[in-house]
Amino acid sequence: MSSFVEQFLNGLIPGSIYALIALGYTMVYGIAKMINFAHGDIIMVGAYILLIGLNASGVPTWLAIVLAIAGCGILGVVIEKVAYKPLRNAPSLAVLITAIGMSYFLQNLFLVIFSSKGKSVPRFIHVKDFKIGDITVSGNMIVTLIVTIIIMILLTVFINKTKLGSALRAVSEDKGAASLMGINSDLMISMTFAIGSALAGVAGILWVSMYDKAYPTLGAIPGIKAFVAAVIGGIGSVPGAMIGGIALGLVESFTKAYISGELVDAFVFGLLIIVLIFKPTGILGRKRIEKV
Amino acid sequence: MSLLKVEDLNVYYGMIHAIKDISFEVNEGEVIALIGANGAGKTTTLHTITGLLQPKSGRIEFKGHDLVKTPAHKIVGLGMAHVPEGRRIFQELTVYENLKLGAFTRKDKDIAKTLDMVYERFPRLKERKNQIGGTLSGGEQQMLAMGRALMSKPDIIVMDEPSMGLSPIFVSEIFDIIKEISAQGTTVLLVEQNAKKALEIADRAYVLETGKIVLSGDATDLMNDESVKKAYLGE
Ligand SMILES: Nc1ncnc2c1ncn2[C@@H]1O[C@H](COP(=O)(O)OP(=O)(O)O)[C@@H](O)[C@H]1O
Ligand SMILES: [Mg+2]
Repeated sequence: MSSFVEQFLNGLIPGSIYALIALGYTMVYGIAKMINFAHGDIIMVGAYILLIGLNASGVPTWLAIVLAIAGCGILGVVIEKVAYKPLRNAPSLAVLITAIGMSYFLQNLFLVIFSSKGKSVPRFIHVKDFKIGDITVSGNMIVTLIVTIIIMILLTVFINKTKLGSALRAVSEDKGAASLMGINSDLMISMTFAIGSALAGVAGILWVSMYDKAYPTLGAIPGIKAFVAAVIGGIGSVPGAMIGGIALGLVESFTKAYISGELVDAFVFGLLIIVLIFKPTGILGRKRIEKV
Repeated sequence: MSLLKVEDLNVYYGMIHAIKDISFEVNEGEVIALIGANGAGKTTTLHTITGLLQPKSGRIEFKGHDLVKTPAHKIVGLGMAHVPEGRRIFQELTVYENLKLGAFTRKDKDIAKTLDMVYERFPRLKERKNQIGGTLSGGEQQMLAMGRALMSKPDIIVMDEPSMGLSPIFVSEIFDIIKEISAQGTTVLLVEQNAKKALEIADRAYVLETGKIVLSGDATDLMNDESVKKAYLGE
């Protein structure tokens, strides 16, 4: 039993990080109707900004964290303005290729600056491990869980209960009608990229707190996993991204523990295929009719 | 006094010349009908006025503002609300949220008062305020689209085929409501294929054919015009 709980936690932690990343994919998809394939690389940028901050003398840890999150948010907005906005009316293939290009650009930029060698990130979360019976929960895990839960609650309240949140949902449903209400959809799109990318920054910070190395392709794996999670949950659905991320983390962990470490990816993609067979729009996804 | 003035407007979809040199005027307090067959260019005209489309040339003046240069999202704040073709309410938002978005740009303290007025005019919306927009019937959605437009406290409300696809009972109800809105001092620019109903409540009307205004005048005169009778009133 205790090993089951342990495996559950082992899945819940990366799962909640996947969920944070998946939120960015799904929010951007919801409003801009595109998959931002550079989203995973923002995680990596967040990790490097954190690393630079932690290594700089005189920069307190909290400031390094804030800078990493803010830096990612700003980067997301800039990427949208520079690369995606000019393609607002372009065919989706052009947007897809641009997004992949942006991903390679970021990876290679950091490769040039920091080389491919991983840089270790000093320990920066100093929370004591926690013992329940014979199960040890590390301080990092506790912080990750608490941070994720708080973010999910805040985001849900923001989207569903505030004026700006309802404007956001209006834009993702019908930009034309939203503009008739006086909503500036460009501004809403920028805001979404800022929020989604800031969450990727948080994910990057939590990721390196767990795996303590930063390298230029760090974002690729969690990025693609989180994308799968967003699709499983239903791309465009915020609660779907949360469920998808955590489900994926759990499947990974249980497969590793009870079936085979080598079959993890097979089970992850198997889950994707099964969900899509029974519900092509994902667990909480809905079909939408596009309007001009 | 002229509230809205459209002059020599030309609108294209790529190579298609959809609106050809049209000019018309809406005075304060009037109900103006813009009638014409399917594909005549009525929706294109309204979309150009409220900024969803850019004209190739021409002027659109509203209360001294040049609407051609005004981005779509700034127009409602100037006092012009648009009830679009096909209603386009937000299907996944509640009735209440839809109405609140109608007042998105308002900064005054009277939004709650306007909401009460809208609920009073459309009691069905009040009964269904927590229902998701997409679950309303067609007629209710039309009421929601109108209520949402009224939430901005507009000086002019432009409506694109509000009676489209509705049962006869709802059609009469919608036209009664338009009359009421007008009676309370809001100017109305009404686009309709249902020419008979539109001319009944309009002060003046313009007839649009393949992107051109071919006839205009007092609504009563147009109702008695032989060509209008033949082409639009089915007599
Ligand atoms: N998005 C579009 N792309 C190309 N042509 C269009 C588009 N929308 C409308 N049209 C054309 O412009 C003309 C006017 O259409 P519209 O303004 O919708 O007419 P109405 O509202 O009077 O039925 C029609 O010939 C129509 O086919
Ligand atoms: Mg039309």
